[in-house]
Order: sequence, then structure tokens, then C-alpha cells
Amino acid sequence: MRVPTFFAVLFALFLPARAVAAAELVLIVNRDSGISSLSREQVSHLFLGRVKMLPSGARANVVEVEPLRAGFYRRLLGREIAEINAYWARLQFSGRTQPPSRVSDSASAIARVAEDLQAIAFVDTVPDDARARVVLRLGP
Amino acid sequence: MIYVMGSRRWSRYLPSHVESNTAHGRERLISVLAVMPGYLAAIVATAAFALSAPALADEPPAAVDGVRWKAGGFGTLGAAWHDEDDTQFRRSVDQRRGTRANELDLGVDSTLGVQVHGALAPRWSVTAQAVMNQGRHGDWGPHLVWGFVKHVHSDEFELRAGRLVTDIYLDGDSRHVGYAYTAVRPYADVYGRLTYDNFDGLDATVQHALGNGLLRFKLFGGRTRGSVFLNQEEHPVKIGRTFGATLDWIGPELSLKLSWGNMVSTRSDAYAALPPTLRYLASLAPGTDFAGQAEARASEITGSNRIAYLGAAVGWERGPFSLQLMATDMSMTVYPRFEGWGAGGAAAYRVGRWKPYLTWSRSILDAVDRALDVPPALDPHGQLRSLWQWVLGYTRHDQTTFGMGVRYDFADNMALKLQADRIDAKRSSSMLDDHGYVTGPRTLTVVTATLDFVF
Repeated sequence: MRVPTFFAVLFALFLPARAVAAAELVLIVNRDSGISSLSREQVSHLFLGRVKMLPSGARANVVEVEPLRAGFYRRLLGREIAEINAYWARLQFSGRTQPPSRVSDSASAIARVAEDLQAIAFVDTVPDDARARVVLRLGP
Repeated sequence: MIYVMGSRRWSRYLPSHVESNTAHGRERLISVLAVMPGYLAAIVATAAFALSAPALADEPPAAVDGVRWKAGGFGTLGAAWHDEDDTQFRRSVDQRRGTRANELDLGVDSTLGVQVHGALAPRWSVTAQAVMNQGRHGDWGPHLVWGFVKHVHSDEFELRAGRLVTDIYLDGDSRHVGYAYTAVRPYADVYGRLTYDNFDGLDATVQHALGNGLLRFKLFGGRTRGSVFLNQEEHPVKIGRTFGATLDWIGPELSLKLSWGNMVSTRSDAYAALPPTLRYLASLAPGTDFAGQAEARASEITGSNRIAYLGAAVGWERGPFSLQLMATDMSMTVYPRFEGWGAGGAAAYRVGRWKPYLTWSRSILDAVDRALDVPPALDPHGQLRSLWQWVLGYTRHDQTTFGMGVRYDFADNMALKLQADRIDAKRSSSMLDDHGYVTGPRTLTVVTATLDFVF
């Protein structure tokens, strides 16, 4: 490895790990879920596996969008994604609960929510699909 | 599926999608792994698999006959070193051997765990987890850590039945998942001594919102499982019961925990020969102070051992800062009865992928004084006096550890850690000498590097 490349790599190791940053993230549920809004506290409990049911009483199907995970948890909890990953390892391998399912992009998450009354997901765009409803907004 | 083999034959079972930039690099990896001990080769191969295919953890669970199954696991490849002669460092008292002086030890912290989870129905699931690490037999045979059926009645109530773990750890109900911990290991001074932490039974959890957090109460109980290895002897639980409770409050930044538990062994033959021996010696010196003492000591020795603890812990996280503090009162009724306490703390600061941290822990366990003044005429060579001192000091412990380290999360599911621990032990039942017996005073620095991963 050439010296300039070496130092570039070394410098990159100290850069914070950040995924693509979106201007705003929104939490969406199915329009017919019976949920009109959620608090940050309720969303925190759902996405940290502390509660498994939606306020409607139905079991929540929590969905994460992979490229937006880092920005979502930074906005919601003020924590880096490495902390969230360690947290989920703690829960998953002590038999408490399983981590949320993941999809590769917002379009997939919107499609999942539109078809599942019990799904909740965060996306980086207000969906055009009328079957999905925004219940919380997380600014940058 | 993980295969543990010790020869070149296992290389054919490497996942075909293990990445290497060139065919030569792949051949080199295979040749290196082929000469490693089988358990290390399995951990390294699994780590390579985890690094190359983390997305597998995101695939939807496979459905078989309506049951959705998901497999995953975790591992640690650890290397520990120190230069204190005649000293073996152990992270827990159920390890048969520890890190010897001037040897790079790849066994004391290395672990591989595999877990299968099945969602049977919306409210029913099963989980089984086997862990392979260096245990009391000195080998790496897998043992079942979790194996239970779970029913989630609602967010307010859930029930588990099967093989469970005592809920005493802050960073999850397990001391094996290195990736879940900031530091290399949970406080060895405290948690390394509580190795009767498995049980076969039930736990029930009730949860309710309180303020801006959740209040959670758990009751648990069952048959104790676990073991300790002390003075070249293994002490598995023969017949034992575990029961206890925890109370947690989990808020946005603050979490609080109270825990209370008992682990009772109802049959122990460790000192079965002592009472008749003491009574025989008392009969040789009737009417003396010694005879009274010997009779009193003989009547005190029972075959049961109750380990009891009452602990409190607090965790606080705000932005990049995190702080943990814990303390526990401990007692053991194994003769002559031991009482003590343990405490620990950790502070860390996250900077992007890096997380430097400091740790401190201390534990003390002292024996209740049981006088036995043996007349020289009955003990001309001092053997009984030596034996009695050994009984009183069997598991006495006074050890403090200061640690500092850094964690580097270089991938979404992997982390490197480098840690140095300064251990000051006035007496330790965790560390062993080169003959396998608990040590006297020791001061040493242990340097550890680990690769932790989940998949």
C-alpha cells in the first residue's frame, strides 16, 4: 500500500460511521391499523423491543430500512448504530426478543406497511400510497 | 451449521461465499485454519462467515409447516496475556485452567454460540442456544445455555419454561455474548464467581408503563445448573434449586435494576468426613476446650450450600456517554459460611466507530471465624490445623481490578477490543497457581484483545 493511501485509510478509521442522511424520517403504519399518531416514547419502546403490541392491541410487525437505520436511531434516541446493534445482540441472545425485520429501501417498507395492518416502519419520504399513514415525524 | 474439526478435512465445509480477493488468499486462509485447534478454527471460520455475509441476518425467517425458524449466533476470538509467574488468570471460576504467564492464551475468552429461534404462533416461540467455550472439563464441548418455550400473553405478561439463565447481568442475561458488552468481559471479580447461573424451570415477567419508562418485575425458579472448579476439583451442582426476583425500570436514558436470588445445593459431600473426625478427636480429649469446639464445629457442618445475593444496578446513557454502576451483597452457607460483597462500574464515550472505556470492580468474600484450637498432642504434625485453615480459606476472595480499553466497531456486526486490566488480589479464588490451586496475594496486568461478532 502506498504511503498516501495508508494515511487516507488510517484517517478514514477515525471518521464516524454515517449512513446516507435524509432530511426527515417519518414513521408509518397501515391506514386501517386504528393508530393516528404515536409518541417518540411509544416508537422507542416498539423499535427497542420493549413492547410487542401496537396501541391497538395487535402484535406489531416492526420493520427497519437498512440504509436509514443509523439516521433513525440517532434522531430517535441520540445513539450511534453500533450501540443499537450491541443492544439487540443483548436481547436476541438472551432469549428476550428478536430484532425487527429489515428491508432494503423505503419503497419496500411502504409496500410492507400498505399490505400489513400490524406493520410499522420508518421511511425517508411521505408515502404516496394512501394505505399508509404517517404517525410521527423525526426531523434532522 | 458450525462444524468443529481438527484437521484439514474440515476445510471442505467452508461456506463457498467466504470472501477473499484472490484464490491465493482463500488458499492461505484454509491452510492457516487447518493447523489451528479445531475450536479456534471454528470460531475463525464463523467470524469470516459473519464478516462476509452479514445480510443473512436480515433475510426473512424460513417457514416450515407454518413455523418460522431463524438461526444465528455469536462468537469471540480472544487472546490474553500476562507475565505474572505461577499465576493462571481465569475470567470465571467454572474454567478448569486460565492464562499462564508469558503465554498468549486463545482459550480463556474465546466462545462460539449458536441459536435457533422458532415462531410457532403469534404468541408462542421456542429458542435453543448452545455455547462452546473452555469450561470446567478443560475441553470445548458445547453446552445448552438457553432452551425454552415462551408465551407472550400481552406486553404486560410473558412466561418462559425450560433452560434459563439467572437475570443478574446488566448487559443482557448472558455472560457469553461478548459483542453485547462494551468491555471484553463482564466484571470477572463479581460475575466470574457466580457460575451457578443456569437453571431448568420457569420465569414469569410482568411489565407496565411507569412515568416515561417501563417497570418490569420477574419471578424465576427451578433446578440449578452450573459448576465451579476450585483447587483441582470440579463442583457441579448435584441437587439444587434456584429462585429469585428482579425489578427493573427502563427509561429513555436511565435504567435501574434490583435483583435478589438464591441458589441452593441440597447435597454436598465436600466435608462429609469432617464431623466424624472431629467427634473422634473430641473423644480423645474429653472435658477440654478443644472437645467443646470440635463438637460445636461438627454440628455446624451440613451438606447444603445456599448462595444468596441482593444487588442493585444503574445504567445511564445520554448521547455518546454511558455509565454503569452495580453492587451486590453475597453470602454462601458452605462451611464455615462466607459473607461479602461485590461492586463494579464502567464509563465509556462513543466517538463514531470508537468507544474508549474505563472499568473498575471489587469483590470480597470472607469466612466467618470458627475457632478450633487443636492441642499439639492430638496433631503433632500440624495436619489438622493446616486442614482447618484450608477449610476456612477455601473460597476466600479479595480482588480489585482496574481496566481500560477501547472498542472499535469496524462492521455492523463485529467489533475489536483491546483492554488492559490491573488486578490486585490480596487473595483470589478466581486465579489459580500453576498447580491448579487458588492463589495467595497477586498483582498482575492482563492484556486482552478480542474480536466479537454476531451473525
